[in-house]
Amino acid sequence: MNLKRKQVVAASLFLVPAAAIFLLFFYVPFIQSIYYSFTDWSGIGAPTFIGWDNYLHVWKDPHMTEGLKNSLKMAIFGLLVQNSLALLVAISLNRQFRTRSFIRTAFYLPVIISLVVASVVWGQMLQFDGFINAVLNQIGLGAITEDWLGNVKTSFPSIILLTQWQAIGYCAIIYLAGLQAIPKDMYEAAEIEGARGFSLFRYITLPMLMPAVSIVLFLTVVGALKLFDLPYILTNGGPGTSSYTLFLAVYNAAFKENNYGYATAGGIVLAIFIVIVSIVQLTFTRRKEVEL
Amino acid sequence: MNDSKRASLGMEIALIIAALLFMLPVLYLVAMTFKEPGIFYKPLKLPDQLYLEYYKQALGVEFFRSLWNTLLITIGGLSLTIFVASMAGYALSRRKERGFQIFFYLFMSGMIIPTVGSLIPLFKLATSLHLINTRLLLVFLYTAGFIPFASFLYAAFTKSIPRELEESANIDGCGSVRTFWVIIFPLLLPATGTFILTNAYGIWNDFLTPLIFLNSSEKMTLMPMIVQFIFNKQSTNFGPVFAISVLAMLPLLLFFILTQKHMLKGLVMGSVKG
Amino acid sequence: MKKRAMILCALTLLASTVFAGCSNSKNAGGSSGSSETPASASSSATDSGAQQSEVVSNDKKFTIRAGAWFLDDRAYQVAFKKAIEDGYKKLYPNAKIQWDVTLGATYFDKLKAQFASDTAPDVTFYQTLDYAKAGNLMDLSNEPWVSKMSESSKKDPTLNYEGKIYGASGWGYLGGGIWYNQELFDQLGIQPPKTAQEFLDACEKIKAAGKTPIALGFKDLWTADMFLMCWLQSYTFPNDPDFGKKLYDGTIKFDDAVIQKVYQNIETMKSKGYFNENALSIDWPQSAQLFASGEAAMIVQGPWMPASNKENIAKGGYDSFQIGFFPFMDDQGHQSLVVNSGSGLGINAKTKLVQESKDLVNLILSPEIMGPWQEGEGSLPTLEGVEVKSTDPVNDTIKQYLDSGLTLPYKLSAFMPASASNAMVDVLTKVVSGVKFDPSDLQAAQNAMEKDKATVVLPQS
Repeated sequence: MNLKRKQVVAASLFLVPAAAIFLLFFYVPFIQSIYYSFTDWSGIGAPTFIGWDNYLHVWKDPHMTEGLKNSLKMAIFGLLVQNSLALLVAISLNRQFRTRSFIRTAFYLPVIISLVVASVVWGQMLQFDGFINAVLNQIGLGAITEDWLGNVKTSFPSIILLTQWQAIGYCAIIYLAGLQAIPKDMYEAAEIEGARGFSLFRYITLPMLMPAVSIVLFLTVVGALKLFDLPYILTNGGPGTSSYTLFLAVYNAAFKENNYGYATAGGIVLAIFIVIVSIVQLTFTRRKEVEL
Repeated sequence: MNDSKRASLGMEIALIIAALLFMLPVLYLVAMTFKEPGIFYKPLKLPDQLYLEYYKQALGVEFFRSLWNTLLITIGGLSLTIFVASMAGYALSRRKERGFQIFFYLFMSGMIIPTVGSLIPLFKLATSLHLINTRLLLVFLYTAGFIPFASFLYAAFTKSIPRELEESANIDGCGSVRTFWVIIFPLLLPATGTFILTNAYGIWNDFLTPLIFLNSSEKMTLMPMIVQFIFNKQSTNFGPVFAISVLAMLPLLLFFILTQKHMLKGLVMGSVKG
Repeated sequence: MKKRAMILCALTLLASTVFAGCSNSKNAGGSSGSSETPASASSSATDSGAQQSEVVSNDKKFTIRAGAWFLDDRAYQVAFKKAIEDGYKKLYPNAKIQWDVTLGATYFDKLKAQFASDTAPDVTFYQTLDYAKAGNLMDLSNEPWVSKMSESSKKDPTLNYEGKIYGASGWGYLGGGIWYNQELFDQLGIQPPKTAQEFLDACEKIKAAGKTPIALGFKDLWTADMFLMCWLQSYTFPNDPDFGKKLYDGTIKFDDAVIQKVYQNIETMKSKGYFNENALSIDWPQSAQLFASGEAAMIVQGPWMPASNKENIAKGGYDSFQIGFFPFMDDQGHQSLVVNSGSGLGINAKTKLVQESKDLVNLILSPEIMGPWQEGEGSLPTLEGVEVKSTDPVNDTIKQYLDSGLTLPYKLSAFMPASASNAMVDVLTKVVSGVKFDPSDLQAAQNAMEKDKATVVLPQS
């Protein structure tokens, strides 16, 4: 009993530094922001309490609604396309061949490149007289050249594709790690029982990979909902409101439009969305994990 | 192992093409830094000589100062996180009492909640702590941001360390602090490695936090410096901007090439344990 | 095992050096947050030997912070900074000016957070009077330079709040208009247009000659704002001086026919191909380059254009040409220009360095420093005794327009919150991207107006 108490005290002391830093620099500001979300506050001067008004206006503001729609589009795209492509890449990379380490490096390389640098490069490449259109003209596809970031129809899709450049490599590496952790003898046993090709994948690989799938899906969804840097640097949400994300709408409301209270309300709506989506997604994949 | 695990030639070629497409922007970036002004805006022209003028313009005092700051803050943020999160993860993994569970969920919510609304409260907090415009503040902010992920990582790795180890150490008269740092922490080295390899980039590449919380250019890190550099070149002179982007990327690239083997290994271990 | 131990050692070593590094950075940090505690600043401001300051106030050792968003590497900006530093050295030999410069719009994001947390610079350039309203800026009504201000700048909506002066005018700022390539206009036989229709006709002629009529750089949203608000200015105020107030109190809505007309004009221009194809993805310096190269015949920009254009032509090695100017106009040929200070130079209300800050402002406003800088900025003179040399003939044209038309110290956007004007700009960029103009899109601006009305600081009329 005494020993146990001693252990609890010791463990608590171990937790204290991390808890203190986390609470002080993360939670305290967050809780304060909840209060501000019920006020009309420009960030300077004194806040006035206005109840739920900010939360009601979120649904009338095209920055927020368009941002929310785009963020959800991005999350769905991430779940369906990015996720499957990453899995495909990982499965391929899990095989033996000569150029494997080169290819692995090539896929992962974009991950380490900062969004600032990425947007410098891509901003130039996507310009109307930039690299991509030049290539299209060269191969006889001049008809589909476009000011990619300056068109309401192509601006956000371009940004989604840009995120793929970094996200596929990142997710593929996590999948690859998961694949390599599957014991080889499981495959051998299944093969002895006559499993081949896709059924091998369906009954061995996928179930064993489920933890990695949960992690990747979680990262994909949260990453999609938190997307900010690329539209901030490349398009600032335009043209019109076509490439807004919810995070960008919150940032601009706070700093460009002096509606700090309103912005925090948007931030909290964003948080609630992320929580809901991740809970739904986690229970779904968890159930799958059990099922399979 | 057996033949079915070998990739077919067709598949390998497809992968090589895809990989080259992924490398293309990076190659483009590097190629641009050597293109003389005359052909700079001709997108399909390759550089025909080793034009180094852009690098000369980019390699100023500013660059080295920012590099130093970035290095300092990156190492500081990683070290502080490792220091506090290893202990916290260990405690969270070993104790199942309610209080510890609460912290587990608190940390978990930290991975979900977006911080954009907290900027001004944070600013006020930093001011009252006299930390505004200090590199130390950034170290704290990054640490706070990494604590959830890092603690879970350490908790997962701690699970695989048998309790008997600590118990026998306790019998030998080691205090828990000493037991942890002398016996447990070295065994958690793979977790530490995984954490560093997957998160060093996050600090190095961050743009918004330093931009908002640092004022003086003496303390500025690389990414905001690049953006300021763009403004200063009036954005019509992109050569030096590309050059400075390459230079800012270079240390990370070296780090990446040196460690990529370990990274995959670390991730494998992470996923087995997690 | 041995390898592990080595890595561990290395790591610990690394960690300890870093912590040492960090504590250094903390000390260094103390010196720059010094506006709050000049005493502590004086002890740690510089590492270089010199010990505690003397008692004589002028020999006092302190660091004063000055903030701006435009001090880049252009020659006249560098000279401006240098002149201020040298001048201040004469007043306070042991003082150090710390420049808080963040180029571009992020400066204002930051300034707000800094005022909110009492860490703003002692002396700062600013653009909106929200800070005065919130009590962040010092009342400067009794400063010696106020008497030298022109009557209109004393009423300027960026300087005057409820009858008190909170800042000195940074620029005598011509709120923007259309700059054109005179050579090209002469070649094509185009006169500066007087009505909106003539303007469109001119564009058509230029287009037919294979040039881009107007260069846009809307990746910088402020240029889109300038384009829209300048054109609205000429459509609204000359016909109804109270248009702004009516928009504010709701008797005129954002989908008013006059406002729609401007959007329709822009829609026409887009559909006829009068803008550069990359209008939305290049920024203003790139659009200025398009203009300097002779590829584009016109550009909508601010008063720095003549000087910038000369620089761009020289840098790019293009054929030099004379720049011309005309304001936006409505269907009947009415026009209205905005001239205001565009920015203010104010003092943080909470500064500990009150006299030192006032001296710094006073110094910046001195003719030797302000004159050459305003010249570089293409500013009109703002203070009595400060001469701004201007040799470009285009200045005579501008002067004629200023004298003949309706000149106001505020834009239409002064009557609405930032959220509403941003919503209007969204509709503009949408139209410029090729989407058909839909008046119901302006509802977003109306909603924003109704929500954020309280944040509007109405200009004095």
